[in-house]
Amino acid sequence: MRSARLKLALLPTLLVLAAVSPASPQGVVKIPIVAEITGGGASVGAMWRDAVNLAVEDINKKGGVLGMKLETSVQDTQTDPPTSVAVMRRVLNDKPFAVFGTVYSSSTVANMDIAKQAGVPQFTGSESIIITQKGNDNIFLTSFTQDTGMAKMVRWLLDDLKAEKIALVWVNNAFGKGGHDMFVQFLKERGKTPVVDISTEVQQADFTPELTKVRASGATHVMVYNHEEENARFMIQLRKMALTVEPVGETTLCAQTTITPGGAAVNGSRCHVGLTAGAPVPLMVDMNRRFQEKYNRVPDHNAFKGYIGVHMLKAAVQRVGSWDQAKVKACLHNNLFTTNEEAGLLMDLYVNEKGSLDRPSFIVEVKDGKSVVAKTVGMLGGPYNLRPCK
Amino acid sequence: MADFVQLCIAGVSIGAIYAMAAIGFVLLWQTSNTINFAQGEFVVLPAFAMVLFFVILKFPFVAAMLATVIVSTLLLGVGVKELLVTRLLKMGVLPLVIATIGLSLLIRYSLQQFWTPLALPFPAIFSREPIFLGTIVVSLEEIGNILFAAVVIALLQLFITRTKLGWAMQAVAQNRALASVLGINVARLVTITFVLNAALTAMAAILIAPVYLVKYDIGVGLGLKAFYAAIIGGFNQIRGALLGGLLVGVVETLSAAYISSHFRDAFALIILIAVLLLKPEGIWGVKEEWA
Amino acid sequence: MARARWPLLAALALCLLLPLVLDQYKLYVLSLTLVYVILAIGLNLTLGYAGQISLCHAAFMALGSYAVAILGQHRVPFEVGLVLGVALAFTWGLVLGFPALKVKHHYLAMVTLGFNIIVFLVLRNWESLTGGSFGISNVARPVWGPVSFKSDRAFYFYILGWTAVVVASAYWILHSRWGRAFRAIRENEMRAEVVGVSLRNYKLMAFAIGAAYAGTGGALFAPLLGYIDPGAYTLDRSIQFLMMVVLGGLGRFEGPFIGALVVTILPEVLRGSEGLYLIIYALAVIIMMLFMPKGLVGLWDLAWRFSRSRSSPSTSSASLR
Repeated sequence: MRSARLKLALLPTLLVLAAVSPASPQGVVKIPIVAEITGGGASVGAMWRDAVNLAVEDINKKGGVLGMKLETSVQDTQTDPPTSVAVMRRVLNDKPFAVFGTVYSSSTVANMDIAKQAGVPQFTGSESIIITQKGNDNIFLTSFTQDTGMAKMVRWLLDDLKAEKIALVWVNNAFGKGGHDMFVQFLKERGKTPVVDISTEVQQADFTPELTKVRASGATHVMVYNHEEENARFMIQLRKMALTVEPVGETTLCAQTTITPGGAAVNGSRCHVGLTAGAPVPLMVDMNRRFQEKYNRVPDHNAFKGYIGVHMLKAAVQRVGSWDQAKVKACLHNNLFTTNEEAGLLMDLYVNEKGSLDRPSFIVEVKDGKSVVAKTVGMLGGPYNLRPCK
Repeated sequence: MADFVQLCIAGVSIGAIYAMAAIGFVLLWQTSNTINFAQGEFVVLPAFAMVLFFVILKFPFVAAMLATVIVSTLLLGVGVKELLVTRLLKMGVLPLVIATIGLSLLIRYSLQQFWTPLALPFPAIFSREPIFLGTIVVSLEEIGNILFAAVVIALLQLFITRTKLGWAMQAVAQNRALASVLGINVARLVTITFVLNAALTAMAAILIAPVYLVKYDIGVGLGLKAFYAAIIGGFNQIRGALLGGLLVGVVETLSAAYISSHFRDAFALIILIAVLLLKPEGIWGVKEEWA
Repeated sequence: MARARWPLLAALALCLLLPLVLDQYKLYVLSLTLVYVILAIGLNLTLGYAGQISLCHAAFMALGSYAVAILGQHRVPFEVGLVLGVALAFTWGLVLGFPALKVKHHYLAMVTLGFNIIVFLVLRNWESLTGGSFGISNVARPVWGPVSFKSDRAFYFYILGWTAVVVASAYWILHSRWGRAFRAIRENEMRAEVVGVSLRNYKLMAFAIGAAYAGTGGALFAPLLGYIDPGAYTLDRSIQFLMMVVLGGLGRFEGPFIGALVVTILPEVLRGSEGLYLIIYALAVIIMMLFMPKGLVGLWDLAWRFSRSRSSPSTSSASLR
């Protein structure tokens, strides 16, 4: 808010300067951020934005990439797909090198064709499978999609936890449906089906129908796949009803934004997560610390995604050896990137032919209001080759 | 069978919360022809106030409650009435409706932008320890919500039917012109109604905060359910709002469990539309005159 | 209303020339504005002229969008999809119009609100038809034999064509006896009835025609965006249109244009405020209701009167509405 007033005050000065000086200083590459700053996705977009800004700051401090500094700007999509299309178009007018955003899948699906038409590589925080199903070679995810995530999840659930009867509670939107479909599919491949399969709504307050069904089914484990607030409410009510079922989840159940409102009720939940602030990975711990120093809050998985995304771009540009959009995009398909060449990636990752990632992940358990890493899970596929891109 | 009872208890508990939000809504319509599209946000704002007083400033609970009620009645009662309603009432129903829509957006997005877009935890008022009655599990929270709402509604009903001020409100509700002629200060009464509504929503906020958690957008669904409740039960009777609230809560819960969770939001709506077509004044409502 | 003719023609000329100078972003915003104008005209007819509170405009829009999107997947010509969508919207407008007759004001608002929510739920849950939450991508743009409207510029002109049709038809309707009947109903229902206006038929038609316009707007919206999902057609969207029409000016011909322009352009202008935009918008709506309940068209009137008095100070500007 302060910055808005400052911008207004600076406006006349800027106008004069713009008239006099060249449009943009030499040696700068533009990578605008298109994210959910207002609307339902405000918390998510804010994390993404803050992390991208931190990454850009880190990179510029060390001299930039191939002698060029990075420059970002922030555009708000209001978590509204038609608005995100307008914003994307506006941003593309400035001929940026790459775009960072959006995070919500329904917005990304709407605006990714525009970026593709302009040939500007797009780094997204979305995780929905629909994004990789559209045959778009211009989009790069910063996490794995729900198919990889759920594959790992089911493997852990059945092999490690030896789960017998699994109930599934999922939020009925694109995110929840994608996860639901993948989860059910992978269970089926192992000859199992959920004993309960019940959907919830965003902003739902009472989960007694879901909980009574879970209880009646005799499920041993319940897969909780809603958004963070709903997960918190769900867990509070689960404990109130003294259910003995084991809560498990994929990323959202054990996120900090679930733990904070849910309090002690969330303790005991176990999740498969792609990224977590509690990871015993030194590079992640370091990024976590610096994020907290700068922004005074703990980064969530969306923040990690944003940070890693910028460094994916850096790694690809360095490997190609020049700022060439087509070559960078080609380099970011079917390729392995390691932390040895680029520490900012935080973990080794492999980008597949659809632009989605394979990466090690973690099993966490919520203890005393914190996500504690119990185990590291390796990449799903591999071993992968490191392809040169010159 | 046990599950059925479990679900009914949950439905009644959440329905009591809907009823609390619906009653003020009905009162406002009755005395001042105000359709308050911001009713949900009238609950959210005091919920945030409770977080401020109880969680952040650490007032003792009763003091925090009082502080919240005072803030709510000043801002949302007197404030809204003097600044918005007085002027807009003369212009007809629609400008006021639009203004309350604008107000709901204003409150919602201001909270999101200037406080936080995240959900804030809120400590439980009543104990959450499970009480086992056979296979049915309840906690004091469900019982507390129902009792609290019942007491508030009973007191309100007494107020309306047994006090002079209450009679004056009834008179204004039935025929404003006539009430004015009979010497009732209608403007002052409308202010009192707004204050009453603000107090009611503040108390609803205290019940809701532990269950819904405190987030800027919980008013949306809540406001909607309050409308359904008010219209289904009877738009011009307090006990109508109670019936409507309970009905919406129970129907929602049972249909999600037994019919379809995918269409959870539709069942209360179907009842709403049926009531509107068959008995527009609501189940316990009384036919309105052309006042 | 006769004085609307000149500004309309000027606007049309401007719309024909602008694509030559606008970049793809501004062209998109202009295309979106035109679509919103169509939708606003529909709602203005229902609400502004006939006084029927409709909170389900987005649902009618959805019917148009999904008709075009689903049929486009089966390579059915765009215009067939559009006509089907409009017909669907018109029919449901009639169906909803019937309860409109029995109930008033806030009750009607609830019925339409309920319809909007139910349509959203059906769109989301009927996966096999609508793609459910995953939506429909690559919505096809019209093709006339060798002529394709796929490019942004070509599709802009296609939208402009339909906008002109809608505006012309609305103009015609409001100048006919329909228009007079609507105004009579809005002003005083009892009096209108006494004078012989068949309330029922006119109310029904107002609802249905408004819905048909919404269907048209929806059919053009889908290929403009390229991707649709049920989330675009929620209650929030209906309320957005309500704001648009009220801000512009209810029951005035110029209203929808002003409203659509302001609501589409405002966020672009305020984009630098990073999050304050919605708050400013909400405040603007409240302040407008307090001080300018007739809508922004009041400013337009002032400007008109000012220019009139400047050019010919002797003539008094009798305002024909």
